[in-house]
Amino acid sequence: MNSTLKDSLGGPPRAPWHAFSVHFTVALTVMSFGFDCLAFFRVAIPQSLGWWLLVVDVPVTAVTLLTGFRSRIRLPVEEGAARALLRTHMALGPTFFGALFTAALYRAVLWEQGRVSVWYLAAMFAVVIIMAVQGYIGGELVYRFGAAVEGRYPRLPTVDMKDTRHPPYESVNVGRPR
Amino acid sequence: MTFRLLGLAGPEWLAIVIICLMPLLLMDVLVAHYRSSFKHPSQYLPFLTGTLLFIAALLVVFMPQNSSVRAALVACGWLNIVSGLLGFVIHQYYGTFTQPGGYRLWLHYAMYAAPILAPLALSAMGFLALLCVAALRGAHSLGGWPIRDELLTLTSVSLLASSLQAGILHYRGAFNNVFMYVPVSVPVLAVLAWLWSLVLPSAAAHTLVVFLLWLTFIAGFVGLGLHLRGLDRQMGGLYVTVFNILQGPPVWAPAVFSGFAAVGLISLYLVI
Repeated sequence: MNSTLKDSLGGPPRAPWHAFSVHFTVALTVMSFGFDCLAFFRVAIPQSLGWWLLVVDVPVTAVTLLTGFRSRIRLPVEEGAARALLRTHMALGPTFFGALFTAALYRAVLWEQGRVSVWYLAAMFAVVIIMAVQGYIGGELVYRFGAAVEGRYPRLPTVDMKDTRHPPYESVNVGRPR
Repeated sequence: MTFRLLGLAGPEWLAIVIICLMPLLLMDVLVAHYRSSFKHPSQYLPFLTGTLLFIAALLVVFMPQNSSVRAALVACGWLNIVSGLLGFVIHQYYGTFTQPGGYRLWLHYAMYAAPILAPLALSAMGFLALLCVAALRGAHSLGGWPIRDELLTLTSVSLLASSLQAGILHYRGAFNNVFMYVPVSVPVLAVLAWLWSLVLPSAAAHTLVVFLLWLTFIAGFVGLGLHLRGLDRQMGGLYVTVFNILQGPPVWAPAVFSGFAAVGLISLYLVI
């Protein structure tokens, strides 16, 4: 018998909210940058589209930060490579938010002037780079170390058991310390 | 005369800085005073004066033309100036003067006892409130000095004091991370650039001041991230959150750099 969506959820929603909200941050930041690039090169799109995406992006990213802190508190990770990456991820989170917030203030000034500048695009490019580094570390935490991946998922049949570059899930301590 | 950004004039942005910064300051005060068990009744004072200033600033943003609200912000400003100065004296008296060795061991007590300069942040916020109200009234000067210059002086003094306080505490932390040099370098460079622009005004000097103030603004956020990282590097990390928040690096302290850099930028862009 096929399981229903209700069975799969197994109760009220308890999704990893950080992983949920972070995708909105990524999408909004990249789209804002992309649309501003297009506007700079005078492609026929509304000049203020990038600004309005950024207006939504800043509060969404604040939520991403808060959910990230909540996830961090709930995630048991022992000292080692995963914990070191996690600390870098934690340090980069507010850094990215600060850079994004600064870019948003800059964009607010340009929105009132009616046109983006090359300096703004350069600053926003730096923001996107910080986000890419942060995203890479987040990806490593989830897909290499299984951070916030609930339960012990079955090993895929294609995984080489002797591959030491990608240790199997069981070799990383994810058990609760208490 | 003031320019506007997103419909808000410079003085209103100054009130927003007070609204954003005051809760963060009070959270760090709460951690520090809770750690010392609130053994002196005066340790409750910053919460009273700070909360009143926060409320008055909030009202000013929504009712900038209301004279009663402005008067309330002035009163709260003075209250915070006095409260900060009182805190400075009390920190000196109980933190160093009455301690074994007293001022002969001043560096030890500067590092391990009550932070000597921290209460002056309240005074700075109080003075900022006074300048905010003066600018709202359309005054060009306060006490015979142009408001813009007073704002930039307040920014410079506050950034230098914050750098000194961060320098003492980061010295205690043995500057174990290269980023611990940022709060003792970037804000100081911003202040030096501002002095340069005063002595030899030029477009290059102005651009440098603006760039360094933006860098200081971002440095506050970087500091927040790195202080969180520092908390996690304590024994037990964030799994013993409350204990390590009490004993680890002050989480919100770097916000002071962002806050006063914002004041500097507002005075450069929005207040003439």
